[in-house]
Amino acid sequence: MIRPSRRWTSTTAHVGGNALIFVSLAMALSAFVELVDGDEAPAMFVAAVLTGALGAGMRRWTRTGVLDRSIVFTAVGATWVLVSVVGALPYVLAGTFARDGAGALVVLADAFFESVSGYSCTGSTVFGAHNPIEAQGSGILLYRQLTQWLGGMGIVVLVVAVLPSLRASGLGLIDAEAPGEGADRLAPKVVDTARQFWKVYGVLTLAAAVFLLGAGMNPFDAVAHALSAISTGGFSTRDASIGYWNSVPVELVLMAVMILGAASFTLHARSYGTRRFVHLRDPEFRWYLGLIAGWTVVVAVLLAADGMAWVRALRMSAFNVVTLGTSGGFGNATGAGSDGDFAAWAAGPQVLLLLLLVVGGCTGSTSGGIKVIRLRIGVAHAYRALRVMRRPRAVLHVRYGDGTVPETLVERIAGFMVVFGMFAVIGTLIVASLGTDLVTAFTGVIEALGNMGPAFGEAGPTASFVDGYSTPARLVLATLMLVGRLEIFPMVLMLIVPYRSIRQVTPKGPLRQLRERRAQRSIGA
Amino acid sequence: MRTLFRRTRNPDWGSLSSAVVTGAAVGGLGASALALASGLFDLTGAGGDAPVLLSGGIVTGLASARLLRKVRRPRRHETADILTGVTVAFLAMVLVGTFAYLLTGTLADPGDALFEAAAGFSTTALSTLDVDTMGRGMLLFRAGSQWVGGLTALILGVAILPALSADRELADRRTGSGRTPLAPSGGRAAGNVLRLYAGFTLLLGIGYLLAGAGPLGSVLLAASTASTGGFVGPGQPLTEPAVQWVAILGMFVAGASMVILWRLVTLQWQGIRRSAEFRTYLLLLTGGTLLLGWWSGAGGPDQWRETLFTLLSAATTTGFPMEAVGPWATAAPVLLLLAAAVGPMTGSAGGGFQIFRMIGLVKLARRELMRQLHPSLIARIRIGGVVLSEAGVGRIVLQQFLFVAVVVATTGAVGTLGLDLATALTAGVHAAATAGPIRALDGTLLDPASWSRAVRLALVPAMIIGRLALYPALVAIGTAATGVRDRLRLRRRWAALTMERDR
Repeated sequence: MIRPSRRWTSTTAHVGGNALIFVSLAMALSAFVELVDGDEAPAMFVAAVLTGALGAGMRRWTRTGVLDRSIVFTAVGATWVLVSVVGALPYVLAGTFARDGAGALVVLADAFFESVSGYSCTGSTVFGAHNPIEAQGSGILLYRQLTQWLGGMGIVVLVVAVLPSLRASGLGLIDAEAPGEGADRLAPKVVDTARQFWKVYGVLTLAAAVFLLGAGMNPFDAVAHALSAISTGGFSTRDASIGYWNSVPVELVLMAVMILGAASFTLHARSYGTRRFVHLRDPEFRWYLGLIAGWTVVVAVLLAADGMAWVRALRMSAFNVVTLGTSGGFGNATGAGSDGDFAAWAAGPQVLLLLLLVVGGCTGSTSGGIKVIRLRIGVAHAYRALRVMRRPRAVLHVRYGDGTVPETLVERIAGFMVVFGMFAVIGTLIVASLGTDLVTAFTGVIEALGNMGPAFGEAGPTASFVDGYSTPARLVLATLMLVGRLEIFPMVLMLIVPYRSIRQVTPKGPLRQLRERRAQRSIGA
Repeated sequence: MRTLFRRTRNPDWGSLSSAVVTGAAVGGLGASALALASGLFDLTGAGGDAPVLLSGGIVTGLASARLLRKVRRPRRHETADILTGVTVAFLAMVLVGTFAYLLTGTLADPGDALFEAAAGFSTTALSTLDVDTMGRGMLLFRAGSQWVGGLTALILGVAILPALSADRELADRRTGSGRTPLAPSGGRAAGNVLRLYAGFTLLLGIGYLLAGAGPLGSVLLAASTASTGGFVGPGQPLTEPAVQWVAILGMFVAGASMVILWRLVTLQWQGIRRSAEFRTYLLLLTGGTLLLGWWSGAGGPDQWRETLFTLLSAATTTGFPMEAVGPWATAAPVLLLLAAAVGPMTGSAGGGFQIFRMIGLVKLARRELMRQLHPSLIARIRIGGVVLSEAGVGRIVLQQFLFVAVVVATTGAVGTLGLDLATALTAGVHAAATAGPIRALDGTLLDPASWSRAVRLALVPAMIIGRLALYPALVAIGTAATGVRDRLRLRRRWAALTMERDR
């Protein structure tokens, strides 16, 4: 046993190591399943052992230190990058993406893309007609689903649940990882809060699997889709996604599960704890349901106006609105150009769906996007600014639910939306410069930042991302998925600690000297 | 502009009603002056449209003048009411323009006439007209409508909106230490802007004439370049390299702020050098041209000139048409769309989101990143050494929100009415930014005449809202909505009272 004092103090490495242990467990479980009908079990076992060894080594040789905000961001951001990179190991060792004409770098990039898409719960895939999903063994398929399940609730939340040494600092880590404006504490101890989140998550997954089984899926598909539905991930075990079943009961169950996945898990935990349905008391949840319902009706009307039968229009609209509105990312198209293929719809409903790509679900859920609460407060803020122009001397507050929103929160939300918009614009320009057309680039960037799944244009619900984007463009999208999963700031600010370290050891260049002189002069002035 | 709203002796009109009627009268007067000038100009040619333009101009002018005299202005107008008045003035000009197209027979369909008038006054480079069959008078009316629209935007941007403290450079009224501000007061700002704008247009006209665009072409091009309108007369004069160079220079200056032009004229070099927005404008134009040249494979000087022309045409929201230079990379239309969305400097005749606000957003994003690390950080946003008030920052965020909302609404509307997603998105951005021309993904120019009338009409609100810097139009809509709501409330109360009395 190594004495704690002889361990290297690095919260980032310690949290990352613990996360890898969970990833290795998922790989090992998948490897056992692969033994049933696949050929890649040895490769998956090797991946599990390597990952486990790396994680155990990092856990053993490191310890947690002081957690200031910059270290929190570095720990969370680096853990997600580490998990995504190491999580690609089973695909690489099993040769999942090896195909004729694809070089080693392309195969590696595809494995990384699929891994990031899984852990970030995006659901975009590089499988397709050139490399069908259904040709893979059950182990690889289960591993894909498990990546989403682990990423859905948050791998760092999982680490916090088993790391009592983090104590109260763990809430900072959960905060940095959780979608929306921070996480609520459900219990006095942060560890208990994290455990409660995972408990509710597990119960909901189990229930989803049972209902999907009842709706007509086989046991493996039911479990697999329960994992990716509650995490609003969107991976499927079938090439046609949910279109394979073409079944209303399956779609209804999945819609219900995705809606629950995109609702706040704090609400679920409170309902679970009090045995009362407290969701409707929450204004965000009410807005969210209203948004989904309103969008479903409008899209259905537009589809019907375009010639689709009313009942079918309502079905297609409801499923696709829910799947994109919750950032689920499943598709119910039975083929390219079929009724469920929203990339083939008219531009009107597409624009409405595009808006949903941006919005996402509720705070504290497994979904992506900017979140309903931010949209609601952003709209209220804009309305207030317009009202202030009519009444310049009035002191108006942004109201939300029964109370007023603090100005600091309003500013934070406005700032987040601005940063999100900038990432979308710059990302679109970069992806377009890598050989993608406007619509495919723009919607691809939005779906990556919002962790949605399918895009429009060349990368619709029936297409593979290999068809829509070049390899460098896919790598940009993968980066944006990670940025979007952590809601931008942790991924950007994770570089602060390494940057400070580099600055301390490198000599001052002429530019830095000049800048410091200027700063001193301005202080003097 | 504020001088128009000066108090009269017997003030018995409300702020809003006075502002609305004054706005309508001023709009009518502006359009009537344009119609009269066009009618007189038409007499130098075939003169077919002269009777309609002259008689229409006289009738509109007289009616507007009478209306203006009737108004009894109150002691003070609310800012929101002034914005509503400006919006009404703009709508009045569009309405008169619509009648001009219909009555002269240039366009037979009222919808098309409305689209053309709105595109003209909003300086959007979208047109369904066949310029080769039009008379001189209507050609001047079309180009002149852009000039008037540009002037409206400039006066709004320089004399009225700075009062809302969004743009400190425009609101700078400090004198002394060699400073001569452009806008020492609202009224003098309007006068200075008018002189600068007219002088610049005159210089441009002479430049075009010397470059060989011909007298008519020079007048039309000068009016549409100065206003960033993008309307081109018959004979495709912009294919000549010399004319292109004049257009390049003209678009560059038209995209610069009036404050920069004013400092240039009054020889305040220091102010030009210190302007962070101007430096960013130069940087964006240079970077954009290099990127566009790279992505379109520009080789020789001619291709680089055309690349610069295309980039400036988009970035200043002028919208002069130019076919794609060389093989068009997929990123080229995205770059041009982005350039049009950002637009030129604040206080210019151009549309779009504008560079000052973009800088504000970038600085806001930077502050937000710092606040993540230091939640209690108190940091002001400075642009060019000047601190931006938090209200100004809020207004910039609002403007971004409104711009996106207008683009999304317009894209959704035109998409529902038949355009594909790429074209709908491009049309939505161009309409809100009052830019043009709209291109397909391969860079070819799209003709709005090939779209349905409903699609063209769906673009009209975005063009008008975009030309009026977004929130004045929305404040006007808010005012109208509040007025209707108050009336309805009053009626309900009256009905309830009557019922109670009857009982």
